[in-house]
This record gives sequence, structure tokens and C-alpha cells, in this order.
Amino acid sequence: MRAEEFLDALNEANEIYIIDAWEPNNKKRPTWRRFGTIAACLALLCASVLYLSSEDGGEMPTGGSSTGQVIIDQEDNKGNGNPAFTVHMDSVAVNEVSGNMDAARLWRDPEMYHNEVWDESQIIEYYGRDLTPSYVPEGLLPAQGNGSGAFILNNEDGTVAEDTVWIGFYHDYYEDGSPKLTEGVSAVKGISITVSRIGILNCCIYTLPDDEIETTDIAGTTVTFGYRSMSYGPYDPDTHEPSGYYDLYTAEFTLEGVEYEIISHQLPLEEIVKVTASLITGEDNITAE
Amino acid sequence: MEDSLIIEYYWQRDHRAVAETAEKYGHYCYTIAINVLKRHEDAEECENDTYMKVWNSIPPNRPVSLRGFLGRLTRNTALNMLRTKRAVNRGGGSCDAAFEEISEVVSGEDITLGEVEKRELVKAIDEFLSELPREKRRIFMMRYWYFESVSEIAARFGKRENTISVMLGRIRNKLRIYLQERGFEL
Repeated sequence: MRAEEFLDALNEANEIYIIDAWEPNNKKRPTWRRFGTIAACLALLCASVLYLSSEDGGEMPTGGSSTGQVIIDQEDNKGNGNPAFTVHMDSVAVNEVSGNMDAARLWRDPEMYHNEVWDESQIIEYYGRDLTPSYVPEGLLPAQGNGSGAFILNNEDGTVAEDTVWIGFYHDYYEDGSPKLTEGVSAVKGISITVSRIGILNCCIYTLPDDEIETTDIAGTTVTFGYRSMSYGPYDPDTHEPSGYYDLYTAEFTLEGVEYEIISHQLPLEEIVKVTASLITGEDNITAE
Repeated sequence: MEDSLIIEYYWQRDHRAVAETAEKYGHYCYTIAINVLKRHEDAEECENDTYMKVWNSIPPNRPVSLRGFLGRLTRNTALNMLRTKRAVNRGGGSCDAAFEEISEVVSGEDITLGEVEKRELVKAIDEFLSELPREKRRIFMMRYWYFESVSEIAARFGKRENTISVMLGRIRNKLRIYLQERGFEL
């Protein structure tokens, strides 16, 4: 077959794909992309987070670490006051997110499964730790449902079939407790954390193939950060152009057998990095530079 | 103006249909034409030919999407024009490069497809496209349907040219394997 014939056949491809390809790209070139190459190189050389003593000032990254391990030994810095973490933003690798996985939940036969709402102490017992981040961005308020989780258990043996716990912090809420949209940008502003121990999370589809996705090492935990430029309405009735775009960042990691997914709306990258670092280290004294 | 109204003008044989089409979709048609033909005069000729073809085909057609309908007509017209003007247009245009890239997928042998085989191929291409992540599908379509250059696609998607080239290379490879596995004589 000649290329010409193939390209002729492509002319008859589904109209949806033809029109969709032409749609304006909603991806702004985010600031981090402009420095993406440098940051990617630095990511190979620098540790993501340095464990520093607030008194002795710790050490700067020495570089040369190709795996982004924590350079400073935590033990050397303890006992010198409140430990502090400095997040080096240059070494944070961010991947473009092309879409979200289908979040539809499985239907569970009520004859086989039942729902239970667990309180904070039950959740801590199940997960072995408090899931609330030590650091929460300024101006965000906890959502009503924080501290409880809807679990689904097998009727017969009591095994947990679904264990997703959601924790949210947003700038404001409507009367029904749902996060409020901001004025000007009709989207929520805040951050949500979803956790699971039985591996049912998978929020992001990345643009790059799996083997090219860059990760960031935060205190020994491998974190995958993502970015997506999100459109918001109202949409032009003729051109379907959105009113604008805002930044959505994601973070995915597994810590002590627990999967975490964090999504931030209308917040700078450093906030999701700091929340992630606080969940991993358990510390709230985190600065970004 | 709403597409449905423009289509209605065509059905009423009202010449405002062409003017409205040109105003709303002129840039779209011209872009497709210039990507293929490279010369402004040729692209304009192609655009005008497209309007004439639309005028002659609506009615009886009543397209669901006027954009899609126009796009197909423009691309088809442009490729036909290219065939006759090929010698003049050779020389590094995005369309020629796209042809060369697709040559990696097909054998280049002169195999004429019958109507049934062509329909089967279109169906397989559609299935392949449906399995691609949206962004990759859009990039593939921008390159081989709209014939945008790699640098234009890179700018459109906010990526480096090299990234786009690598992505396209992988998609082409997947496509070739996909079609071969389904028994297509490429």
C-alpha cells in the first residue's frame, strides 16, 4: 500500500476525532515547563527534600545523587529543636496529565456487601496512622466529611472491599458542605487527599508512556507529580471556548502500603509539594525555595 | 451563525450559505489547504473549490457537523490537487514529510484497495484511534489528517518538537503492528 492510499483512508476517519483534534488546546504553557529541562536535570542531581535542623542549618544538597535520595541523614539532625524541611522546587519533576481515569464506582450486591461509616479512630487503626496532613495551605478550611470514611465490607467474612478515605480542604463551602466555586474563576480552590490501602486508586493518565514518567523522591518516597490546565466555564455557546484556565496539580505515591492521591485546584505547585512532604514526613515545618 | 442555519441556507439555495461558511470556516479550510498545498494561490483555489463542492452536495446531504464535512471536503480536494501539482510542491513541506513518515507504516507497494477493503481499513483506523489516549490521538490527527508540521504541533501542545517526533514515531509503529495483526496487507 502506498502512503497516499493510507492517508486517503484516514480522510474517512470518525468525524469526532477530526473535530476533537482541531479543538483549541486547553494547555497553557505552565511556568515549570519553561524550566522543565533544567529542572529535569536537576532532579537527577538533587534531593527533593532536605532534612535540616532548624538550629544548625543543615547542609545543602551535595548533588551527584542520581536517584534523588535524601542527602542528609535525619538522625544527625534530630534533637536540635523542631526539624524543618526545605523543599527544593527546582528538583520537583512534574508530568503532564492528559486525563483522568473513570472514577465510576463498582456496583456492589447488597446481599454480599454492606456499607459502614468509620470514624477517625477506626480509620487510624485501619491505616495505622493519621491521614490528615500536618501542613495545610493558608486560607483553606477542612471539609465537613473529614475524619470519617465510607467503607464497604464483605457480609460473610468482614473483609474490606473498598477503603477509600477522602480528606478535603477548600477556601469556602456552600451550605450543603460542598466546596464553593471562586468568584471570577468558576472552579473550586483547594486540595483533596484520597487514600486506599487495597490499591483501588488510579487517578491520572499521563501524556508520556509509563517508562518515561519522571518521579520525585521525597524523603525516600517516590512521588509522581502531574499537571493539567483545566478549563472553566461559562463556555461560549458558538465556539465552546472556555472563559479561561486554571492550574490543577496532582501527586501520587505509596507510603507504608497506603496509596495516596492528592489533587489541588487553583493552588501553586509548591502547595501540593508541601502537603505531600508533610504527609510523608509527618512534619508541618516545611518551606519551599 | 449557527451551523444548522447555514445548512438551512444551503437547502434553500440561498447564496448567503457560502458567505456564512466562508466567514465561519474560511480560516479552517484555508489552513488545511495550505498545509497540504503550501502555496497561497493553490490554497485559495482549493478553498473556493471546497465551497463549490459543498454547494453542490447540500442538498441532498445534511451534515451533522458542518466543520467535519468541510474539513473532509477540503482535505480531499487539497490531496487531489496535490497529486496533479506534486512535482512543483516537492521539497520539505509538512505534507511531503508526513507522507514519508506514513511510508514507514505501509510497504509502498502499489496495492489498490477495493471498496470493501478500504472500508475495513477505515474501520481498523477508527478502532486504533479510539484506543489511543486523547492527546496522542489529537497529535496523530494534527499531523496526518491536518498535515500540521511538527513544530506547529509542538507549539499547539506546548511540547518540544523532539517529544512530538518521538510520540509520532511510536504511534506509527503501534499502528503498523495493529494493522498487521489484523491481517492488512500493508
